Amino acid sequence: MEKPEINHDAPTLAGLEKRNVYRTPDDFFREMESDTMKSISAKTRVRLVRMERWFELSLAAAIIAVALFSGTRLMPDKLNLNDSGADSGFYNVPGEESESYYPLF
Amino acid sequence: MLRLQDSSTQTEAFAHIVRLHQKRIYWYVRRLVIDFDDAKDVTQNVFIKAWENIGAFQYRSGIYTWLCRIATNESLNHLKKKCRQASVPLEQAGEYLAKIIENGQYISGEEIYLKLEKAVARLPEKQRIVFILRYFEEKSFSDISEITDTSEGALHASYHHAVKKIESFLKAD
Repeated sequence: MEKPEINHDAPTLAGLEKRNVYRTPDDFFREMESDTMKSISAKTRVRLVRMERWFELSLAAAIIAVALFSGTRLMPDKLNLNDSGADSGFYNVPGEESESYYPLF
Repeated sequence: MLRLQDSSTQTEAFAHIVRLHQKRIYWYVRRLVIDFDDAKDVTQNVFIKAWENIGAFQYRSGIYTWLCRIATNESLNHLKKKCRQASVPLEQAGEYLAKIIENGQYISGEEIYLKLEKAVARLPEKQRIVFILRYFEEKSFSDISEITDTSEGALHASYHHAVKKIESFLKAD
């Protein structure tokens, strides 16, 4: 690629070839590629395991919520502590019209 | 591109991208961070970040331009972290990098080319990135604008200043 701005402003720089002073060992890029793909696979596995755990937790929470909700709907009488319990005969409270509870003889 | 979008072929397609662009990204990162080990770590992070954000890739620019953008950000973040760990003020990052060029592993060449690398290392951050992308990577100003999110006018000015600074450094004894 022509670089007229370098030729004009920087003749010393323009006179240099493009050389790379940085080196790497043999097989460096092949090993790096392998390491990179291993890291990516590991991260993908971790992400999938996390997603699976979140799904399981959400499902468990949903089941518990449904169970609690169903429980409160099915057992309202047993949970209510008021006079309606006495009227239903749950508490055997003797009234005036009944025979004496404690026989004298 | 279609293979990247399809989840069943995504991994294989991405492996192909790594194979295709790894070397160029490595050399770009190496010029930014200088150190051999750091460049390897940063390059791997670039591809891991790219994989994690592949869904966000909009296919407006080329893959390599997108990777360069990630590489630039990762390299700069890495350098800031290194400077913090070494208790080196960011303004002196250039000197810190120049020392690595003098003493670092897997760096060798003729004196004038080492001098050029030290000159580039001492440039302010923006000028350094523009110079590396334009001079070494031979990217157009349009691509550099997309990589750095800077206007082409500002890039021309940065490059011009960078070239002048490097020239005066090369001429100095």
